[in-house]
Amino acid sequence: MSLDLIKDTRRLRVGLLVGALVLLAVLATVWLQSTRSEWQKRQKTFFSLTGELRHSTEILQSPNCTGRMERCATCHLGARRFDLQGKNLPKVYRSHSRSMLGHLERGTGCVSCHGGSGRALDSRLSHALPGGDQPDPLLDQPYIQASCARCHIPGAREGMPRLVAGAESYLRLGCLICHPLASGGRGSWDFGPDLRATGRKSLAYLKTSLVDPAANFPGSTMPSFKNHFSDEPGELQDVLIFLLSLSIQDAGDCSHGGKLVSGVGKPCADCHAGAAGKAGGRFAHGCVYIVEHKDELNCAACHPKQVPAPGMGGGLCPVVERHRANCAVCHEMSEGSSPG
Amino acid sequence: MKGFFSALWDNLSGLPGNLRRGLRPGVADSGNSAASRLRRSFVYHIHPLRVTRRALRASTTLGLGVVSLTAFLILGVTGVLLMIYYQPGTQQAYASMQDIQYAVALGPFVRALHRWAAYAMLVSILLHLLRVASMGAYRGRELNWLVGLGLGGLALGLAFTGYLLPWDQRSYWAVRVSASMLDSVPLFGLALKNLMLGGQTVGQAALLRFYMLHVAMLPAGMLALIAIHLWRIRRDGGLAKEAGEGEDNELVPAWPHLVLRETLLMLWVLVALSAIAALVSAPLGAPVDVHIPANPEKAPWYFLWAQELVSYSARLGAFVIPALLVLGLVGLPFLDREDKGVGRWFGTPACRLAVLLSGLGAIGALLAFEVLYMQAGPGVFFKALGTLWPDIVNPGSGMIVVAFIAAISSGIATGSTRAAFLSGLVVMLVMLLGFTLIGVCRGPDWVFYWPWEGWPGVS
Amino acid sequence: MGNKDRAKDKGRVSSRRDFLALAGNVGVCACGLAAAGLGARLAVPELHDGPPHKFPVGPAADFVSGTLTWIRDREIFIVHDGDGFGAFSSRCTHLGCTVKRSTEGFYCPCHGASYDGRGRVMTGPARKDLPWYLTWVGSGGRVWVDTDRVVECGRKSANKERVTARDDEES
Repeated sequence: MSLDLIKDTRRLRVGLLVGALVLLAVLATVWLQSTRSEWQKRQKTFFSLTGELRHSTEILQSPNCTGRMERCATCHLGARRFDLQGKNLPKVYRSHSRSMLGHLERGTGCVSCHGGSGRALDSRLSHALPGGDQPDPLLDQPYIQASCARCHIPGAREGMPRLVAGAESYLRLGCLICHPLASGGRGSWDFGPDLRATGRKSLAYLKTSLVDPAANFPGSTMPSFKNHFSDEPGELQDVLIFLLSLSIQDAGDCSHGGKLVSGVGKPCADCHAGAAGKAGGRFAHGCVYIVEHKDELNCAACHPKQVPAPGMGGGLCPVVERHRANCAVCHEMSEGSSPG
Repeated sequence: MKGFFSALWDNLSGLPGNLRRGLRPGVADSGNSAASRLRRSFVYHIHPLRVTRRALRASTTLGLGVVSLTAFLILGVTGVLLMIYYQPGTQQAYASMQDIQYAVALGPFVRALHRWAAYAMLVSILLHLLRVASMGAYRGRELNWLVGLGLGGLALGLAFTGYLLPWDQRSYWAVRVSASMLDSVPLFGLALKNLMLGGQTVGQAALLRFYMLHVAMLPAGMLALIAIHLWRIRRDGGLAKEAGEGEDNELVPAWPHLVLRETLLMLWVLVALSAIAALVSAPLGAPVDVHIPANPEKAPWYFLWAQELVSYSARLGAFVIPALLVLGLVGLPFLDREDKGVGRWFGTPACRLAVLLSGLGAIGALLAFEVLYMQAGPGVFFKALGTLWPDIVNPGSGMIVVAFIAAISSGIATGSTRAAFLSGLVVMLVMLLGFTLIGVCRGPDWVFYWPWEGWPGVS
Repeated sequence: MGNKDRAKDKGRVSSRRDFLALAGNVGVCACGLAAAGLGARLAVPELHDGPPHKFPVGPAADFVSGTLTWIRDREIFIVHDGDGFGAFSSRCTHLGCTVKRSTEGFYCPCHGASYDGRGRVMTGPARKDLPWYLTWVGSGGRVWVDTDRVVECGRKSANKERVTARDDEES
């Protein structure tokens, strides 16, 4: 049967016409989609809620003090609008609390405290919610105090009480024995990894590490601290805040006065911190603390056979022996003595 | 002076006519429309005047060559658009990708179209190769077959180089691991790695080289080879077929019957890819950490088979199997020179049966190998026998053995070289597909999880 | 013309025309190859990228005896015990992913290779042990590692041992 050439041609041309129309429809949809992205809708809603008569939307971006570009203000239009403070607006449009006004004026930006990804304009990615693979998930109260450590040494300044409380709990509970924090980043398999080098972990993971370490790491020798918190959830949260601060991404070099962060070759500053982050200050000296309070610290929980009972035999707590090098960083020590 | 002004006035008033004549030379004389002149000069240049009815039928070639070409053209256009915003520096690349995704009008669409067109091109090139192989259409067309293999290789190279450009975790580690695979290639491996990376590590030099390859050198190569490929089809006498019979060979004009069919196919491919790009956006992974990989760190789907093979043995997966595949494909038109069954799917009925049995056998063999291998526990079982044994005894080498057995037994049973090589090819294809699926199921620490089992959370 | 016919009978290229044609073709081909060769030579990198292979990792006092420390920027582990300091690579010998610590030693999350506590390969697709590098303590009290010098598995240097005077480059 011969091919009907005319019918065939007609069918093909109709097919082309239909295809062209469908393509135009798809492209028109794409175009429309691009005018109704999430941030544009948020801006339009804000304008209508505040009664502004703006018709065009635009991306608002500015660099923070470390030079990183941030676009949070595109959706969070009310952040600097303190005139809107009393109004009943959805959470996204609320104005920022005045407590961090000094930081806002100095251009620290949003990401330095809240975390998240400054360049994204999609709420899922800009907030970098936990469970995803983004390196810096958003922090809520009270954990946001961990962010102070991006630039400041814990305790260096007023205004981070829970972070400091967490650091003090870190000492009281004896964490420092197995997870020492002197500079150079040491940690070991036998004692437990350097918590500053394990990378950012989720809150759930950190909490499990405290109450049931074997769940995260089968065969772990770390004891559970479930019953050791004096005031749950308060002290547990304080410790979590401090742990987050150890691995939090630092904000980068800032434009005013160089890095405030500790650890630039000065071992003292890691444990001591005074005003403006200079050495001289608030923390109790970890090793002396251990020596003075070794009975309270319950060494036997980890070292059942090694610790001589108080008052029996001679010799020092072997834990001190093993940590002797910590002391020797700053103190002159002769064999068999502990630092004064 | 008067002459000057009157001449100027004449020219200005004559502008419409002169524009028409100057910009459309030859229209008035010939009386033909621009469309027909375009058709005459371009369409008839690359198409023959008449084609057989067989060439018009969809089932003959499935239009796969046209689909591949369309995908390539889409990639070229979207690629150039992306070049407006993408910055090939290790400090800026990820940020520029984020900007394309969020701060560029229609950025997510163009980026998604680029990625899905790339995947579509890889799939259609593979199917096109299989169609040509199964019809024996390489018979007597050795040069075009090799040019086609070259095009396939360039396409894989384009996919590989393009994958690094976003500079996210997946990109960086994919390239770092692949570069380490070159250590297994004897003689040229280390020199090739040095050349590819511009040094010993994956860094700025590597990013620039990959960018240069991706936007300039490899596309130029593709264009040149595409031109040769299309020319050779004409030169070799059109679509391959056995010496003719029947109404299939009735000739019809190429315009409009073939050309409009091709245009229609290109249009619908564009429609389909645009629709997918509008609905599904391209993923962007976590920003790069040059010291710590994600867990699991998996290659893109078109290389998962290689990652699975390499996880049994680096030497086998990175060198031996790819080398055998390339040698087999390159040698195909020289080792099989049968005329019988050319142009028909799988040639003769006997061949079809042999291929089917080989395919089924391959599925069974793969399942058996995997079950045995996973039970045995790779290193523990073979460590006792030394380190060479795991390189020799693993599902990858099992695949080679089964392919050879299938090829030889099909050849002996049917007496046909076509059946032999097609059987071998089908075994490789089925098992590589199987390895890809297994690779998809691999979770953290490269442990195999069934799709319905969840992966354990990794901090 | 007569020359050409006679020469062809003898089977040789004879006329100047043929010779010049051949020489011309060969010349153009040679130029093309030379250009390609120059391009290829350009592409081969001259600069050694990356940090130096012999480097200090920090004061010896930082690495408490009995500990294992990962030096992130160099992708090596520093181990310090009673026998001194040792260093070995944290790059899996299979395809270069960074290994993680496990209860028996180390494992690689990429393809499941596992190593014992001293970096000796146990199971998985890796075939070689994690390489150990020459390590010593310099005169300034810093620990030095030389990744160009691979030593036997488990080799450590005592705290005060000098390797050679040449290696001691402390300022």
